[in-house]
Amino acid sequence: MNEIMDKNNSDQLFLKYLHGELSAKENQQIRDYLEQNPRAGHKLLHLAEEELFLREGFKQPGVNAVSESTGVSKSMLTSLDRVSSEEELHPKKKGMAVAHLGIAAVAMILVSLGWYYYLLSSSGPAAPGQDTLATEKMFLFVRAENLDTDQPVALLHELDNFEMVHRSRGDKVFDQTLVDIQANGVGMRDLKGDTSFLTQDYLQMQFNDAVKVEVKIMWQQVREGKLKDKNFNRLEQYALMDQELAVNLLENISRSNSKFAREAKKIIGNRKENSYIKNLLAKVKNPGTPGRSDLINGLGDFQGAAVFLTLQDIAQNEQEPLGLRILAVKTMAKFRNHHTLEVFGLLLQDDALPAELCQEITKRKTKIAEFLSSNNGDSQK
Amino acid sequence: MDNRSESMPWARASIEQNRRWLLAYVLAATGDLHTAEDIVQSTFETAYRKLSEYKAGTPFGVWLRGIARNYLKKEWERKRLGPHPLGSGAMAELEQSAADMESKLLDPECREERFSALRHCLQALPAKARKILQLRYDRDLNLNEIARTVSVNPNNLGVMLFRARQALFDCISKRTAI
Repeated sequence: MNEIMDKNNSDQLFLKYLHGELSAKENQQIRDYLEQNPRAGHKLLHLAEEELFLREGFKQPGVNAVSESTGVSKSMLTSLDRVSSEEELHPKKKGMAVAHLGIAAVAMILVSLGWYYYLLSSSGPAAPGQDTLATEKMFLFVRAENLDTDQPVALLHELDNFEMVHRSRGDKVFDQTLVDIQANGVGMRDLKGDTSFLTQDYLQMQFNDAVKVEVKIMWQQVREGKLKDKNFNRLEQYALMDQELAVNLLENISRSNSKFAREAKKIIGNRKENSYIKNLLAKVKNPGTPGRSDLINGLGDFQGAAVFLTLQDIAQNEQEPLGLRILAVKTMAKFRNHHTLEVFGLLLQDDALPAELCQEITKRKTKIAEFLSSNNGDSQK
Repeated sequence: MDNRSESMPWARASIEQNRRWLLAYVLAATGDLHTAEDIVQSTFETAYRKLSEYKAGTPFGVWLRGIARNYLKKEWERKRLGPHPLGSGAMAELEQSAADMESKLLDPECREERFSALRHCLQALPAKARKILQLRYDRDLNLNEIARTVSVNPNNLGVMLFRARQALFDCISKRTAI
């Protein structure tokens, strides 16, 4: 059998086997061949994968057809210029810059989340009479570079079959597109698509969906022990943005044997503390809350800008009882640092400040200055 | 996939990442795409139902293949098809190769690069070869149907298809690391 079945013959038989097209005789041939060459199972698996790849690949848009030259219109360029003047349209640029460009009704929203561009939506709302635009294969690129403010930068972009691409590749394509558009706009054509759906809310919704997909992948990486440090950091960011899945995964990690367990526990703890502080501050700000003085006094045990600003608001608020304003100053004075000194200095510039409050601030300011000076002296010795 | 498994936090991501190599593995073991797809679906359903039995830290792919093998065995017994064309030696080879494939196919970049290469390489093929491949993989025709469509002797078509396919993958492999 093996003498007459060379590699090509066996591959051809394998291919027929994978399509269920073997005759009884060929079935027997394969069985004999594999019995004598079990390592051919490796080849069979690769052929199977290739067959699946071809089946999937040939059904992708753009594979069978000769690619057409599509591009962006002059009106898009004008829009790009407008966006650029408002905020530089560059991948690394922070802030929001949704390009209000003509876009095909089949626009795809792709959000960059650091590693991949996720395909989020295969269609935008189609405007009446715009069916023909479905063939234009224009896609919308949305980037969420600035995760601190989760504000994406959007750019209309033409790209076929761009489903899930590693960031390095995505960046390259994105940057090249910018260069092409800005340089000459070759192949540009007028598109009159509907961009009304590109609202901030819509983009935020897409962003939330993309975070979910990313966190789901992280979930599996955790199970397989493959979660990397940088991904864990992203997970923390999402948790701090109150993305529910990210919080759930962090809690899961905190209870596991993962090397990230301790850190996850800490983050969860911080979140709970932040949540507690948020509630506490809300109570402190509410004039109707009973026992506010105790609560204000207790704020001295917490760090953070939100706590300090709340105390400062109370100290400055003429509507608040003087006793509470003085208490707020005393509590602020527990934060013995230069920032408190500066704030106290600013408060003292207010001519309308009651004399008693003024005295308290001056007293506390002096004490903090002495403390800082003494500490500075110690360190110099 | 039922609603329960869809609602699992990582169900979708897990399927997205593991389906391709698992389907290739089961297809190689069955030689029947529809059966393979059914088995893969059952495998994922069972995996999510018995998630608590999965030991964290152990290879997820090995666990999935274990479940899939049980379904393969049941399927073969149910159909009473006699001896499986793949003996235990070839199955063991499949198992090992699937583990290698798993790690390679988990990289999403690899997939896009291959599709991109496919688009490019198809343009470089002779029109007839492209047509045959299109009929086979896009329109899912069998060898006899393709032979009739392109007026080629069925005996020769297998060779033509094989060569076209080989030329295509030679080109793709040159353009990618696969």
